[in-house]
Amino acid sequence: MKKLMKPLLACAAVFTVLAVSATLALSVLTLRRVEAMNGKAPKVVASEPAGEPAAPSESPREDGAVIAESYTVRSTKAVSDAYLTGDSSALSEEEKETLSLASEVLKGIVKDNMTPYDKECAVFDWMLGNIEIDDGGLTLIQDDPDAVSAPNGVLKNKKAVCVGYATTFRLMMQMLDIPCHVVPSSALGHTWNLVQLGENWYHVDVYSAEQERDGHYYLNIPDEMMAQEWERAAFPAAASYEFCWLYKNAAESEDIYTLPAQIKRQADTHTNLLSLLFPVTSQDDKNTAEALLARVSERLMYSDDYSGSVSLCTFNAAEVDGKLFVCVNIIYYDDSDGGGQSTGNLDEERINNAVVNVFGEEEISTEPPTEAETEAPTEVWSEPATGYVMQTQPYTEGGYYADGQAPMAGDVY
Amino acid sequence: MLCLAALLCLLSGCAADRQAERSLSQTRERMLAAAELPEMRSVNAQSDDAQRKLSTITDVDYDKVMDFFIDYAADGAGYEISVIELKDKNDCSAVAESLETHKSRRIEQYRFYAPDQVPRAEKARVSVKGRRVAFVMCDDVEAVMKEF
Repeated sequence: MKKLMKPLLACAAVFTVLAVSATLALSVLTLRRVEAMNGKAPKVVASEPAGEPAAPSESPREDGAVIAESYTVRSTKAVSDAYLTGDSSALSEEEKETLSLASEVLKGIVKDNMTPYDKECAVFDWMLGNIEIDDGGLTLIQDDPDAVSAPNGVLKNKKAVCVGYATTFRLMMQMLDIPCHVVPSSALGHTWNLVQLGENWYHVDVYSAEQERDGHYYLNIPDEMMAQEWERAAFPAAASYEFCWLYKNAAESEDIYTLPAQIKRQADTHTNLLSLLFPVTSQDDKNTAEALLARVSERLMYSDDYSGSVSLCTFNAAEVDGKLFVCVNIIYYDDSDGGGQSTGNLDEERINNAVVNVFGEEEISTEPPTEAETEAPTEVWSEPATGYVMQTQPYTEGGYYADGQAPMAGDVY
Repeated sequence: MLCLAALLCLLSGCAADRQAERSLSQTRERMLAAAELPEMRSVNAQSDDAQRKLSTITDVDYDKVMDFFIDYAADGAGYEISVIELKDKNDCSAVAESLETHKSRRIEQYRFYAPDQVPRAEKARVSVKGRRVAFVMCDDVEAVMKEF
């Protein structure tokens, strides 16, 4: 018995130490939990019942999104529902005020006989003409973010950040019973809208449109024309050009090889938007158009003639209903009101002739001749193996020979 | 004796808090003085709506925050000097991570809205010292961080 006492006592001691430690630990944890709970409601985490999938959200990834760490996208469905039903009894005072402000706008710009597209354009144009971008939108901490990001503040103050434009546009679309989402960018730095017209969805970015002299580029564009990144899986795809403003206002043009001349004319007349329809649909034609667009865009942005005025030149080419749709958007450093206009009602032929008569159709090299080219000519031969005639007369500036003769076909420069 | 011991502990705790509070304030003054800055605005733990304002740069649980200050350009340009003092230094790494996220988001905002601010935003740094985490975005980040 005595021999068993020591190990028994040792086990009891160990057990006692463990029990005391456990008790102490439990006490500390309880104390911390109590401290955390003091004066603060515990967080409630909603959990789904096991085995049941989550119901699809009506507003996937839009309401609740915090943009630029300051502006929260909030639902205005209660306001638009009240407008559609005529029952505003459930609205708060602020919501009633929003309803009144938005109703007043729609009353002035929307007519009963308008199509949904016409109504959308009316709202878009009204916002461009009446809401300004808030200059302080980038300030880190906003004293009153809602003043420029919620429809109530936007419609009262007539100033908005991107969230304000997007939520106000969505509100008015929903009041007109036109389905509309607010789309946050993946980086949560920008928002715009997706609108449904007919069976298809289209991107609308009123904020970006406001930044340009002619912002209609951003009215009803498909996914491929949208420069931002967003969570595509959370929003409907926009694949149609049917109600794209640029497509609906495109001018018919016959020859894709006139693109450089037409774009040059666009730049020379300080026009922002050019949209054209060509009667060609093969992949080669599309590739040709894209190659022409890429080269012209590069010339506009980096050549001495235009780099001082052209800030950005973007383009898009797509096959739409058996035709090749091409659009070009040029942004100038000195964009100001007046002076630019979209195509559609211009005398294309007359303008073209006026420019061609001055600059000519062909591109003439204006590079000054090198020292080698201005030296005494070497031998001339007329039986080349390649089929080209090598002419080595010295050149004058402008690409013409010193004797005043124009370059001959087949000459190698 | 026990009461005396408890009283002594209480007094030394208060003194430590006062010293820390002065230090954060002094740290702020030294950091702001180290850089050329435009017109700035400032918020701290004593400001109205302090919790919301702090949430602009970090998603840290406000209960874990002892004190903070955020100084930022009034016109939205890329100048920010912030220090967050936490109750537990073990929370510093999570806060530092959230400030790196803030830096990334700010760069994306500037890329779209004010591309000329991107280079300065990309040079911004986060630093941890003891229970404090600093975020500095300005032209001379090193000079300001030296005062942190």
